[in-house]
Amino acid sequence: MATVEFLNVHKSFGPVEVLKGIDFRVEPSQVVCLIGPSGSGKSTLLRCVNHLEVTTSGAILVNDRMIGYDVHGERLVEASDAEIDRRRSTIGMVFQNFNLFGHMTALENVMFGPTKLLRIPKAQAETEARELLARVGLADRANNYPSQLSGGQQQRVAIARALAMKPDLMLFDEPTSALDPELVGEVLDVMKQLAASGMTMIVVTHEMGFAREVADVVVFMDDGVIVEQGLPDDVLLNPQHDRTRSFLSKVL
Amino acid sequence: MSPTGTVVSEHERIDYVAMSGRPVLKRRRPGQIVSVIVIAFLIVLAAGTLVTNPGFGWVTVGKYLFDTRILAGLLLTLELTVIAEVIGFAVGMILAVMRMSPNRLIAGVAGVYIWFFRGTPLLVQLLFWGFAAALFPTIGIGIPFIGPNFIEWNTNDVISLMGAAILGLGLNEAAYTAEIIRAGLLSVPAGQSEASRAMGFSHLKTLWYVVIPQSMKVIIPPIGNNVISMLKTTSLVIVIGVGDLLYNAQQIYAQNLKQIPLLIVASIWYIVLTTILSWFQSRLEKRYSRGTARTVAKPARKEAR
Repeated sequence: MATVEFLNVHKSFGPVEVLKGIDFRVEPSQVVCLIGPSGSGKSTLLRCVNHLEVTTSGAILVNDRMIGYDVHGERLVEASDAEIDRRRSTIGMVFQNFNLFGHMTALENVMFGPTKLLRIPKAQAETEARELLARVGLADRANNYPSQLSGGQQQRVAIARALAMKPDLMLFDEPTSALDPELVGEVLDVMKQLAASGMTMIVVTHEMGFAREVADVVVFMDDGVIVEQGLPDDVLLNPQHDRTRSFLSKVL
Repeated sequence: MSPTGTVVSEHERIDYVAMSGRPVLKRRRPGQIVSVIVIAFLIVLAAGTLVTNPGFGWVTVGKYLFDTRILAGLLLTLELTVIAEVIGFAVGMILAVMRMSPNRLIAGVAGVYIWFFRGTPLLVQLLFWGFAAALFPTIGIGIPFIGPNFIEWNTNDVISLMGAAILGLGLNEAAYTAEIIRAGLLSVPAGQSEASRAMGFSHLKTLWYVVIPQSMKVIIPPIGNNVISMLKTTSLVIVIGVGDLLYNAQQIYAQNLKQIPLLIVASIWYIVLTTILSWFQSRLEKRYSRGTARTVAKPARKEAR
């Protein structure tokens, strides 16, 4: 299981600095929930982990290595595209809008990575994909296209798709924010199950109940910096900073 | 129902439910009748002209419809259409991907290509290819500008008239197709490629497996339109003397002076082919609409039972 280390991470979009020096560490099998108001930089930070966004300065180490760079003597060298792709394939990502491939069935979505990238034989990939779909409670939906599934079902397929690559780290970018309130539970249940299985997870979320119950560490971000971090009960029930307190009073 | 409501005695009440069971009386529509009469009159007029005017020469049309020269021309027209369209699609796909490249030079090259081939008339391009030998008498492989050529061919041997026609039509088509494909690629939400990239797929694999298949349902209708247009545009190759359908029809009426009947023969074949192509287009559209909301899931039906 993976470790993730954020070392003085800065990120600017043009003149706008959205991450202003982020430092923290995720231990193996830990579940870290990133909370904070929109625009605070949580999603950007998450997307920097698998190099979907490129940091302006600072470093993010996944298993003691940067995704986008190699070290040559005293300098960083851009890693080759193929190498970046390979490193990314060990990190699963789940998006707010699911982003299931619309022209593939649920089963094909889950089989896509293993067959086309890991070159696992089709029969074996299908068996594993069906197991994963069963694990997220969608064995009977294997042949449905995403447009025929509810949001909650789509998100569970998306989780199965990410797990099919056998990642050792999972990133969740507001996985329940696009869902009807009554569908949120089914996705959170799958995530709880995953956390219990020992997966290292970084979760950007507005689900404070989930954060309290499942997270090992809650990180509160605002305006590109970490305002407060610690055990869920400490941060969520007994926040030390005014900013955290006023945010929590609005969402709880 | 309610005992204290407004009083409506049973016999005064209109029984809408019972009436809705009986056939509804149709309202008369005089405008409809007038329009039917007018259109019927116009059809009779047109049909009458077609039958009574000897200029159409229907007997001649029948005689030449399956003439071997016409059929040979037809085959060549089909060949030209298919090959030019395949070249157009392949080159167009490459141009579209190049045009969207973050590398400015690569995007620029594709931009200039499209600018040039859309900016000059197809007729002129066809003539250029036909006369390519005048510009480059020989084509060879060797050291540019100074050196000897290792292999050398006579341009007219390499680029036959048919070759010139294919190049002219195909490379021109590529410029238009590129823009259609680019629009298709842009229509696929960015989240799709993001999800693929996040799994570790490369840029090109993402295009191939994720973006291009989903862009097809946007690309196919205008491409079908282009194929149908291409079928008829091939008739321009008569300027470089390639024996297509129209060319052969012209050859025949140059001898027997029956212009109208032979133009009708050519038109009939063009319209037959476009009809077939339209049918293929609708089949393709169905194939690539997989996963859109209009398709019904098989297992979902089973569950409903």
